[in-house]
Amino acid sequence: MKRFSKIALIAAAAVSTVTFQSCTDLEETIYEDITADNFFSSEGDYYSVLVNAYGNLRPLLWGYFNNSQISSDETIVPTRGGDWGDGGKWRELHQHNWTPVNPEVVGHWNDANKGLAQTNQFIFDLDAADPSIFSVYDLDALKAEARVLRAFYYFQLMDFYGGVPILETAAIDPENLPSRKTRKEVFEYIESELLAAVTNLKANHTSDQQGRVTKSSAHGLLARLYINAEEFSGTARWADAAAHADMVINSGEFSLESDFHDNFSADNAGGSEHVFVVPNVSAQGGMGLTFNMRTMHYNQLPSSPWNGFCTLADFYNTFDTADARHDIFLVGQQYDNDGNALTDRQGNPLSFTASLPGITGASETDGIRVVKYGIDPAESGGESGNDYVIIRYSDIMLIKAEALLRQSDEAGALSIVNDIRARAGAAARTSLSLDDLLEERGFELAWEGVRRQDLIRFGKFTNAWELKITTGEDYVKLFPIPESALGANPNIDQNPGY
Amino acid sequence: MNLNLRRVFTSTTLWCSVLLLGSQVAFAQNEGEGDANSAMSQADEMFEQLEEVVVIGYGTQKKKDLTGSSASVSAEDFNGGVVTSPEMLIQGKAAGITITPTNGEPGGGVSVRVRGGTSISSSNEPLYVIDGMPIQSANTLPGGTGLTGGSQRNPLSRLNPNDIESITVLKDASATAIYGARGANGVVLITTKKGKGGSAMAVDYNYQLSASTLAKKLDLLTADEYRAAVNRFGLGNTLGNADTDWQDEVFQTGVAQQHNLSLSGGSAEGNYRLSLGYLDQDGIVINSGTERFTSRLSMNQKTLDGKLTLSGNINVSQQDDNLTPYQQTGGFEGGIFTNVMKMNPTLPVYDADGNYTFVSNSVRNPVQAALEIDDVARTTGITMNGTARLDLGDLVEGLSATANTGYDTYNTLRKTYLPKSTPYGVADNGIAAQKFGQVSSQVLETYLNYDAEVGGNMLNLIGGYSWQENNYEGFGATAYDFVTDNYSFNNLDGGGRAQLGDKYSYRGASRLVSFYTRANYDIGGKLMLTGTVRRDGSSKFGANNKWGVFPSFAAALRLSEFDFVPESFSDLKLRAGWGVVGNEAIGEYQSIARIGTGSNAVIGGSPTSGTGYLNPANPSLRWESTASTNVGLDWELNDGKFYGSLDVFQKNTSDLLLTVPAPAPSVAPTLLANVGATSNTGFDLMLNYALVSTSDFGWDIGFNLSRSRLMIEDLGTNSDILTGAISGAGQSGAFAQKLVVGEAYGTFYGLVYDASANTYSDEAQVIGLAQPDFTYGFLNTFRFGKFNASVFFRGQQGGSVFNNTAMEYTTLDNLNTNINLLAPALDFTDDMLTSTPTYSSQWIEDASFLRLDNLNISYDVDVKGSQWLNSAVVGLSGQNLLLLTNYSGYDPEVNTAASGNGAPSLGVDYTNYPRARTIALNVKFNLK
Repeated sequence: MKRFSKIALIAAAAVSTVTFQSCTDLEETIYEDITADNFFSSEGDYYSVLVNAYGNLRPLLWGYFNNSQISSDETIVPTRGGDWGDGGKWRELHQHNWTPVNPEVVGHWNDANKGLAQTNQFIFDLDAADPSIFSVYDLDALKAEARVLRAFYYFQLMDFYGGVPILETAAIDPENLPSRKTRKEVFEYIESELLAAVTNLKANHTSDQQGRVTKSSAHGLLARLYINAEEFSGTARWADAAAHADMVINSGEFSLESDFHDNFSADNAGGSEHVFVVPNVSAQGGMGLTFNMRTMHYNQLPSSPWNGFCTLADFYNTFDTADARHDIFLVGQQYDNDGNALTDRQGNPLSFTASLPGITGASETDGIRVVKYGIDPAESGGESGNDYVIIRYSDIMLIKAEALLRQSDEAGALSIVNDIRARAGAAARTSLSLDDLLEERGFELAWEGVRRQDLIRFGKFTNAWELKITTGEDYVKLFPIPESALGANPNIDQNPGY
Repeated sequence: MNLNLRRVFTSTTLWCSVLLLGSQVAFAQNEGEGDANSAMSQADEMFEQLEEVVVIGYGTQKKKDLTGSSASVSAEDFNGGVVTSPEMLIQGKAAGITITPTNGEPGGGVSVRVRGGTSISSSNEPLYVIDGMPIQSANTLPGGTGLTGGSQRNPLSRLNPNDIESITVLKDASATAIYGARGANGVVLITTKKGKGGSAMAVDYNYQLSASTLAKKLDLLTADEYRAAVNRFGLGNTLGNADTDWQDEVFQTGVAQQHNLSLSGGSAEGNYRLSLGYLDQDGIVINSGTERFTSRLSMNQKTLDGKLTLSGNINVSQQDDNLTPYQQTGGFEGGIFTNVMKMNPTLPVYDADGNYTFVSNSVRNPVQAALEIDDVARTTGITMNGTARLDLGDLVEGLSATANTGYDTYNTLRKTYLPKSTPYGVADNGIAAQKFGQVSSQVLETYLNYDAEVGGNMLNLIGGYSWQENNYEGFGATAYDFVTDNYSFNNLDGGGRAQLGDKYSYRGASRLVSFYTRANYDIGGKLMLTGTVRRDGSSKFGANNKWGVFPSFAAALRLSEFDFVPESFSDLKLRAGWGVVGNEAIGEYQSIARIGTGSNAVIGGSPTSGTGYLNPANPSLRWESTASTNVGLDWELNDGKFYGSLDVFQKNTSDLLLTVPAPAPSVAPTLLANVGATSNTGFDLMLNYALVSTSDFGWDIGFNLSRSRLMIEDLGTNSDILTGAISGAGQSGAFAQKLVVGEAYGTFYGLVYDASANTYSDEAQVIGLAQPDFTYGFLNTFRFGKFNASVFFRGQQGGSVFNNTAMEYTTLDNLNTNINLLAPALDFTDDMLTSTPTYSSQWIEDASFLRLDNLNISYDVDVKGSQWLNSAVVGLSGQNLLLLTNYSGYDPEVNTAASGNGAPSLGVDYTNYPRARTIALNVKFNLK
């Protein structure tokens, strides 16, 4: 008996020591973040997630812009000694011999997909929202803007990679990984989303909401979608392109600036040609435009630019010096604000020359630089406050002109082109062929991120040009799906040729 | 040092001493334990070997009865010299544990690996347990501002090495299983010094004065060599008239002083020890150093007729660091070390007007950076625990219950200022930042211990419960645009501009709950069996995967008890063990879908903050588990003159926690998932031979050799993971290493360079392996009359290092931009003037080395007639006195943080705070 009571006592002691402090609660307490359970209760919550959807546009200032420019005949990033070698990724972009592990190709895939997933999840959360909590913000307008943004992310992916998976739920189901849709299916999805969203968009925004999407942004995006329809979907849609370009033109919201450069100045916010923009502010660490840092020399600004991007001599030579649009180029000796001649890092005069010895072995001063977006006196840390124009009114006009030309209305197209040329102080053209139109787009929209699309549409992307070795193969019109994405989702397959 | 702090500190210690003395029970007179400071004679030590008691988890065991694999190092074998944190005491002394300082900054970070590690995305650090209480080893140093990102701190430097009696490392699963999850990568058990019972209060004081210098300089061009190179190519570079060695300008001889005082004593019923320590160490870079106070109080007391044992420890520390502005990976402009490499040797440090020489905004005067940039950090910590052990022998013979509770917290406040009068801050008109980080943990453990004789054999059972909660939080703010530099970092409001996102705060917590039980059964001293089962739950994993069960078994067979083993073997023991341990050393909250600070957009001309989705839910996130097998042999010959052990092990990790690309489109491009597997195979060998042992002269040799090889077995469907980001102009997005299935971790992958033809191979291939073939240590201890000496060599055979510094600076192209270069580039042919540094096998160097790591000579001063002293020892120590290696960089033992894609890198060397060579003078007294 004594033994039993002893055992009982041990058991009691054991149990009590354990249960006395028994605490098996392993629920995580979250402090600095939130979960869907304790969010989305007020309209302000939804608005801040819309801001996030806009914020995800910012990466296109790097990946979408750079890859569209460098793979074209307008821009090159030569390797200058050791600078800009970067494993060859910039050379690959210009010479069209990129691989599925090229960091810039992968980077854009990640950025656009992230923006897409964030906006998509948001749209589903909006669908589940209680309409009665919205008084300051219009629920339908928020949703329409989100749909336009989501369609634009799909557009960026479709433009670069072709067909991609289309999400039908809030997020990917890891048990049921999607496969790629065809490029045509993605095209039709974008089209239907944009057309559906247009009705609920505002025609314009008050200045405190400047930067948000308007009806014209959606029409502008549709115009750009339709003008490339032959390439994206296999069927040409010139009439639709012209129709949506007209909706922008006839909206009364836009007109050509009298000074070409006002479109791109540091205080260009709310400009009369801004159809769809990514607004920027300077001196805010990551909220500004860094285009000038990419092209200017180390000694030209206090924030020490990166001395990389330049244009090709052949492209530069097509410009007429009387044309106002020629002023974007920095050629020859450079000076500081007080008029003193600048020097390079060795101590020699800083003078940009047109020709490049090759895609490697370039010196610090080789290559003509392009400052399209004017220097911002308030720039700090390389961040300038110029708004970046994704779709510009003159581009819409040129889309209309191209649509007319491709439907055999040369006169109509010529008249529009000459209006644009007159604004820039260039002499009027007397005739217009497709090659002329492409050239005009080059003059007007140089370094605005549309050149790759234009070259593909006009069938010239696989031609040879300065410092580009070409295979002439068509598969380069699509970038490869990154290798890491193929590993993460075995249901998607690679683009042909890679 | 702040005068107020000194007052507070002094009064606190006085208060503690008074309290202590006031509550003491009367002591028995001291019989004399012998000189605490003179080494025991070798003969005594031999016989103690077998009976030596080793700390294991939740208890102690005689060494001869151990079934698991562990290595112990006690105070007399610790490394001497300037040792600022506990791990450095045993560097190289224990087989199977490698300790690599990540850089040479005083108090700098250290990477500790027991048998090479098993994980990739989760941490490979072992668990540190001090006097039975697990403590945190997370980093609290907040990030840098601008270019000051490279410093790392060693969180364990809050423990004064002078307080440590012995360190035991538990290596295999059966030894670490009792610690469960946290011990997946080994357990380091630290036992602190305690007062000795039955003596009067012992007062020990020791003082150390040391000097450190740069161990090796890099071969940059001198001014004349640079001028000659410019002439060789006929370049038009603007040159100065000076002859500056920028390495000499930035490095100095760092002096350090240490004072340690301890009061200890005890009786049959209890003991106490109070220690105070002060360290003031200057780094070998100008304007860098650290200052630290520590104090530790530990007490043990038996009451209730010896049935209840109470003990408590409290350790407080405060460390002030004066950090050096540098980065571990190359920003284009870089910090001090990058600019020491770049600065033109023909330019003077100060120009004709007495100002710092200005070159441009991208090549910047490193002396100016070292002296003008303020970057300081103060780390304060308290660690305390209390244990109560109740002998329940009256209830049940051999039963006792123990409860252990502890609290461990430390935090760092970092203040940085980049003055507007320097190129480092001019673009923003001055940048000031103050940032704070804190971790704390609370631990509660209760367990029952039962010792009995069952069937004529000894049985030991323990069963218990453990609960641990870890909290972390921090905040920070940065301001720009100051009217004057005189505010430094003390008035953030004086900054005219703040950026969205530069003020932040964060907070998180996680919890670990476990139930465990272990049985040890000793059959007639011939066969020892151990079985452990532990059930661990962690809050970090998905809702259905929080718990895991981790068992282990081990057996030891004493072969020397059998007749077929020759008599000369006083002990021969064969051990085998198997176990499964889990690892949860990842960040918190990865399994739940969270919403938080998202991307900001400019709306209406103002930056507006956005809220976004941070990560998709991953409810199947679960424990990473490692199954390991260990077979060992321990032997002892000739009555302990020669003893050693050999362990062979294999570890297989499955459900590897890995950061992998998420299937697109996803709200974040990567996610943490259980995908993949690794394996690690190797051995540890330890040998000890008492060569000579007479009363006049003794000579002991100790040798250890180990090898481990971590291999990647599986990465799921994912492609190779790139890591080891390459630094340098024109190298962004380039990686030096790859994690490839079937290859070892730390495999360098690149083009093969053919020096004779100056060409590269077409395809990239394996060009090196960072993991060494072997690491070894060789210790010789001498005793000659009153002199004691020890000479310790440590080395590595095999292994490669990617010399990123050499790659970036061994190029003639630097002449084109008027910056300095390394001398070997002068051997290049003229056509290489415009060639680009290319990553290839040319820059992968052999990292084998042999280092005279520690040399100690001490002399026992004769104090027989002294009124004050019981003993006195004077000594001289040298650290890192000699390095034999073919490596051309500062030091082949390097681990720059160059991670990529969620996987840490291994064996990359880029301009880092170099290692020092130190000579120290020590004086130790024991007062009456």
